[in-house]
Amino acid sequence: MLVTSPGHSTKAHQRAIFDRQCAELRQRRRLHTAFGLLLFVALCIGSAVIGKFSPIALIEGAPKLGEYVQRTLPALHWSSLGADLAYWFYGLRKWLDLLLETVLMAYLATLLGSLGALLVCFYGSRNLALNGWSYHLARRASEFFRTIPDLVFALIFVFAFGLGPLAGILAIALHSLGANGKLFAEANENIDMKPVEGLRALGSGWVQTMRFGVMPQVMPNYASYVLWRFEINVRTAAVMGFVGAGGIGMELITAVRSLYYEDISAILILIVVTVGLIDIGCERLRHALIGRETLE
Amino acid sequence: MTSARFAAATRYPRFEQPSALAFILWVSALAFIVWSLSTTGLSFDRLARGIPAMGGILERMFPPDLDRLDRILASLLVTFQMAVGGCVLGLILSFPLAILAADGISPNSIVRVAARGLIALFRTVPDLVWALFFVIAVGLGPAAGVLAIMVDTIGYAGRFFAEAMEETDKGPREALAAIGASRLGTIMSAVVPNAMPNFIATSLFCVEKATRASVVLGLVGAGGIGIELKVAFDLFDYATAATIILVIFMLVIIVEQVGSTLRRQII
Amino acid sequence: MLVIDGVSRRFDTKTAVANVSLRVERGQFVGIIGRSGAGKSTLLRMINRLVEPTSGQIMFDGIEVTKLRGSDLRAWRARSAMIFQQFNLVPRLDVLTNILLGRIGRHGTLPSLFMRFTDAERAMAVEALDRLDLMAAAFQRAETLSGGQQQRVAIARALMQEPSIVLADEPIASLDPRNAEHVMSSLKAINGENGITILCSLHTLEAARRYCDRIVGMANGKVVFEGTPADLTQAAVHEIYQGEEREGDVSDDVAAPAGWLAPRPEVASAPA
Repeated sequence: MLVTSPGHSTKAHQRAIFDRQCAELRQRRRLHTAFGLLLFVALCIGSAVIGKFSPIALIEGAPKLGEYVQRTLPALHWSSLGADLAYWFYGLRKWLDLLLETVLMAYLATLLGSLGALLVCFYGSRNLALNGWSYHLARRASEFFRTIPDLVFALIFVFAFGLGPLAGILAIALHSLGANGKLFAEANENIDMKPVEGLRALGSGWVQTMRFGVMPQVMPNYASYVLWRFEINVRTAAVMGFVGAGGIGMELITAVRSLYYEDISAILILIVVTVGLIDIGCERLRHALIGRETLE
Repeated sequence: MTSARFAAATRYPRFEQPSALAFILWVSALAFIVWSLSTTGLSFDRLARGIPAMGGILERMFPPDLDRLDRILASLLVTFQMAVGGCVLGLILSFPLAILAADGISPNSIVRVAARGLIALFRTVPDLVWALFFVIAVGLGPAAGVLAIMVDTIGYAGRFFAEAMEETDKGPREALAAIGASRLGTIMSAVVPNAMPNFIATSLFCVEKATRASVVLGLVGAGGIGIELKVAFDLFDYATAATIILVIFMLVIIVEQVGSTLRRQII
Repeated sequence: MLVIDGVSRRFDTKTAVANVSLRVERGQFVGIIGRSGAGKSTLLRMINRLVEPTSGQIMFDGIEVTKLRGSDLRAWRARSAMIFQQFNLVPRLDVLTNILLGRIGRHGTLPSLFMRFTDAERAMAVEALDRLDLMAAAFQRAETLSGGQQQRVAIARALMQEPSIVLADEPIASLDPRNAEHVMSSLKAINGENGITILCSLHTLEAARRYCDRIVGMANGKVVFEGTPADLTQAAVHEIYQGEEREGDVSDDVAAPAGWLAPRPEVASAPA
């Protein structure tokens, strides 16, 4: 039963409720913050302890790293700049070849992986799947290939297919299949189903419906994902050589282990420039694709 | 009447066979692919020869060897801690860096370009290369891994945080500036709360990314389970390798699931 | 001839269509009227099996439609064209491609994926474009067209299927009066000139009276009226719409269009 004396007492009543809620909210906030802070500190300490990470070690190591970096930098004089640069990049020919191999590896792997993802993604989309069984199979397969790092696949493939880019390409391709399989499927699940219904109603088969009803809608998304994956894959391809699976990584790790200091900086600069250029190019393309969509 | 219209319509390119330009493009693309294949030494021949070897390896992988499971799991824990530690550190450092790198929020353009450049550098160099360097600086072990992941995280989160902050509505910022709030005050009150959902989503994604990266850092000696895997392969102990791969799989899957659940709850 | 025999459709607890039986002769233009939720849409969708009947059977020219599967079902869908309220075109493809897609029900998978249509089919497409006054827009993306134009594209696509029957599900509900008139007259022309049976659900009485040879009234999933437009008395209308005050547009989605589709007082009170 509400005391119905309009105006004054109801206002006081409301004010009391407000004050109470305010206090509750503040209390809850404080608790949350305290809890969050506690969790955060615990995590930090835990990670530091288990990771045997101490700021002291880092500070001790910093000058060592500085010294190392200094040794990798070449001696460049203005007077003999041309000769100095030529000496620094003496292996340019070989390295450029390997860089080309790296980029091509990434290109092929992205292509193969994305084609595979294209085949799998429709089965893995909840709104398009033929039946529950194929949906789960497609999703789990994508997950499997996506979860296992490409380097792990590369390790296995090097043993099976020998040293060289073949192992690297297959490894990156499988991983890309998984990654893009999921992204493509998610894009599929967000489409407008009306064209699909229209096509079903005129007797279109499942494959045809995917081709004409789904793909026109998701093509820009697919292209964007493929470009993004290519950017990532170039980086991965660059380090594939660490396990002997091709690309410029092998040169880099040889240089590090054999203490060819100046080679390290030279190769690194080449890698950074290549990856940087490809990144910029892909970003432009992706913005062109997605930008066009949102403008229209 | 109809045949005249038909004749008119057939003039349109769609009705003709693929034009010469399209044909050239297709042929060049195909040629490029073939060239790539030959340059990288990918041939059906090698592929075919490797498949029986692949089969042999798979065969020897099953059943997975569970003898050293406890040691493997301990190593996995270290790996995950490495990931979380590096990620947390990276996120903390990304925040101020992102502020400096965000267009419209950064104090001046020199600082902005420098910050952007630093973040880009962190992102461009592959994480294994960072791990290699940090191994040199702080020695073998998880410490190097933590640092490598930290740098990797800054490269990713720094950029996303900066973009998230740039994309927040200008209105509240302008209002606060008009009132006379300090730059930092504006950022904390107007920008950060608006971009918070984005921050959280990016951070969760960074944890997933860090987990994935952490399992391979051991390959260059930066701690974690990667080294166990390499050793297993070097010793041709495929059954143990299978176990390691399986636990890696479990870890990443769990982290992913937790991540996406959290993302759905919080946002 | 289409024979619907004791067809029902239940969704959990709700019965959308309850024991409907209907016969439609070849070449008729049948209008289905009723409130939204009366089961018109569901009934139409059961004919081309977009929705499965929970009981009953549907026969067309002696073929048991309800038992068709696989490529036979596809072939039936190719023969029975459907026009949707929301057009259901492929927005990013151009008008001509959308129209040509009407033929893919008759092609194998691989040829249709590469858009291999015969010259005869392309000629058909051009004719359809001409007939529905779409020549100017032939190479525009479908999504850039107005509602009325898009529905005409849908009709052109239906024509390409060389259908034995056209199922139109509220084809003019999303259109303004002028375009609605254009679309309905196109359908009437198809019915008259090509002799194609048309089953059309409508939400205005005026359109039903004006274009249909026969009218079927549905309420709560059951057929409560069958007859010619002349038979549609005040009492019959009342029973179909079950006490709705306005006799004109009773659809929840679309606001009552002004102009020629609104009921004229003298028609509403005309005796049988």
